[in-house]
Amino acid sequence: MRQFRRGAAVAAFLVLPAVAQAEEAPAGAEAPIATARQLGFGPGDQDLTRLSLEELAMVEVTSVSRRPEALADAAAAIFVISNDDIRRSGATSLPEALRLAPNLNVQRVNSVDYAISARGFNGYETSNKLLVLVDGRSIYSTLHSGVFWDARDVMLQDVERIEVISGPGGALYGSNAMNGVINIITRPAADTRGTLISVGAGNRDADWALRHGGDLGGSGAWRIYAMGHRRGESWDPAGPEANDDAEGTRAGVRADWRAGDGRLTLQGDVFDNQVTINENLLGTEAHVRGGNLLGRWSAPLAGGELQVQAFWDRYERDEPDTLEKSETWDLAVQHAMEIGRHRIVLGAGHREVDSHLTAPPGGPFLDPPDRTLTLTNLFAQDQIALGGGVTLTLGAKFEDNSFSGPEFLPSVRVAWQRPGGDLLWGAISRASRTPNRIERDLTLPGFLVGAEFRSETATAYELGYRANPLPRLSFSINAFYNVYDDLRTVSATPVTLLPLNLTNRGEAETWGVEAWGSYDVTPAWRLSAGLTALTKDYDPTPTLDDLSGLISIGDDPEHQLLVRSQHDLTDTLELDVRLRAVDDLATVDGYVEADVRLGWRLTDQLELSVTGRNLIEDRHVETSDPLRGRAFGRSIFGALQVSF
Amino acid sequence: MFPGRASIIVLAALIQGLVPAAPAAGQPLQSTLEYSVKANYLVRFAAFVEWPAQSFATNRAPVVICVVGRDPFEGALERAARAQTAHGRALAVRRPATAEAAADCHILYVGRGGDSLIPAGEPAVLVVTDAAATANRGMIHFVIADDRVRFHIDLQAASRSRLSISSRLLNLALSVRGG
Repeated sequence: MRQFRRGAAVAAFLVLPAVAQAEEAPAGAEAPIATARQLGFGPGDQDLTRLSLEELAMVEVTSVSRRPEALADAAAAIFVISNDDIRRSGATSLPEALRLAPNLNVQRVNSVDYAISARGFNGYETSNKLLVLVDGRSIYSTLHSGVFWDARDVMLQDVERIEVISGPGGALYGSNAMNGVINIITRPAADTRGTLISVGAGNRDADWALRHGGDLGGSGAWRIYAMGHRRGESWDPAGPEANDDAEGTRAGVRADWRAGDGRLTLQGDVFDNQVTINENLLGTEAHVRGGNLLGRWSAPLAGGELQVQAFWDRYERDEPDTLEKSETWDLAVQHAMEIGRHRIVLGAGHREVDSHLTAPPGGPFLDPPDRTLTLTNLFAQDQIALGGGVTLTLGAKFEDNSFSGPEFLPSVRVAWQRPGGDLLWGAISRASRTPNRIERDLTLPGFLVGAEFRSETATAYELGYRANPLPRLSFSINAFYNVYDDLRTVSATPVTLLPLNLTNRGEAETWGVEAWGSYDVTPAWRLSAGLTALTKDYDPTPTLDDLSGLISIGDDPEHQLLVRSQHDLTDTLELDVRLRAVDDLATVDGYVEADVRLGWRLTDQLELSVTGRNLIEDRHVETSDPLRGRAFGRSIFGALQVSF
Repeated sequence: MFPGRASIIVLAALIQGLVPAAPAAGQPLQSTLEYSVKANYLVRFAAFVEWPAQSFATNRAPVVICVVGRDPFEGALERAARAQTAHGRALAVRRPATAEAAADCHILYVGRGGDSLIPAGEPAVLVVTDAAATANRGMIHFVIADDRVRFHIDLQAASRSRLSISSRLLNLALSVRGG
């Protein structure tokens, strides 16, 4: 069974683990251009003297057409991972960097696969309620609505910041933003001029990255990069090495221009990653390849700003007997403007995805193998400054997808920026997740037929508070209560039982708290901590309506605690310690792990670092996925980075 | 909609509380906001930089923020510093006329033409320069990046002047030079 652990194999597990056992070979198996800035609330009558350093750095000063907004004013649960946080973490891949966000649960599955989710539903196959954007380009897969993290990476040195929003993204984000948004923003080319060389190696992994950038005439800049990785084997939970080593290369370019009042960005990447499947046999090479191109143009228009973005993304997973391909075309337009107390954003977008799956003979397959999916949306948001520091945001999105038709997704947010500078906010939003190809087209004659799967829906109630009570102390607390309807279930046909159908008969309620904060003990020493608590209320009893016992709810820790210390020992030496304590999963014990990084800036151009990862336990497992889950142990990694 | 009018409304909301009266017509609004942000940075820096104890005459001596060369702040620095404290000290704003006098400042913003007033001999003064005024970089050098006011930090120069800079400030820097 272990031989089909990837994309196509998602199919098998989705259906039913119990039935999968009975089967001999159960194999074979959105995002408009919004940014958190636009999601957020205007600071209203903002007084710069109350802003923190970080907030000052977010104030837009040259764009007169838009009201500058700081992330700290957003009426949403936002955690921001900065470039320096990533550097000091010693992370060498995007999913590892995402471990810095306390409002995410990151489960490493094997050498290159991860399950990442916010507010529940985690699991390699069940984490399908997150929208992930790289510079405005959506990277979740329409095959299973999750992200194939083994295919999606960025050059971390050039990431400006990663905004992690837990909770529905609101009207400006796509329909997959049901439980959260991860918005990865790379640096403008103007900030990456010069050369950077980074090489690192350890007892399990090796990584390298090169980047060079320069000026483009008098009004623009460009960069080009290439990077590569090698991931060592993980461990079979039973003991031996898992034979799942992987390697890959990625390269890309970006150019930004300023032409008159307008700004133009063009960027693109290509990658070819080799992974191992059938690893419990001899191991077979498989490839994940792809590329993308994105263009974005923005210019002042009618007292506001117009932004037009188009991208093309191609992705291909090539395994023996299996080929999964998708090609995405996306166009999005939005116009932000100010009318008196109103800040209005109007937008529209259209996406077409050509999806193909060649399934291995004898197992489930997608019927038809080729399908073009379309997703069209129209949205409007009005942010109203009511005075007294209170801002009301009304949002509405109308979305039409080629599988299940139109949907209407409204949201209401209120933020109160209090005189002391602290912010109290609340929100009620309706969110949905549209059907994916597996849910609609997966077929195994006589056993499973493609069904009328519709969107899953949720109503989310949120309350949040953030404050900076002392110059050295800041914190944020968010509470949520989500009511889910139409969750994915597996239903039997009356009387005959077979064939099975994927249906929307699941209901659940989840609630919890996310809290994080940081304290500067001294100017050279910062302590941060983050805690999440999650409760899921649902009926796990298998019935004929749901033979799976609502397996789509995922498997999440009830509690997760992250503690981080960033300490500048001397002017040139920095010591970072990170602890994470993760609660039990259904069939996997919880764990406590530590990562430690010692960095040494020899000169302003040269930095050396040593990172120890997973230092506490001999072996720990992070996911309860019985087929794919692997164990991880201690490792060490040394890196050298030169920039000039 | 009137584009010009909308723009002013946007800015008016922002600068309320900073500028007592509405900005006079024809005044470069963007630069007002830009320098308000820079003024507030200068004030914030005081809390995230540590000076040697002997830089202060008494326990109650204020942190002195100075401007040399052309003053682009138009009063924004005084407004930003009003009623603020750092390390338990009040903040004072001065405009020294000589390099000798500038050596008594704790934070020194170098406006256009002010390079010659930077004190020699590496006293414990946080020298802040501005790409809008000079290409010479002080310990902190303001630039505009992606429409925002950001800065580079020269930790080496700060250390030579026995200043220590908080990691929170370093985290925000576009680049940190040496140490």
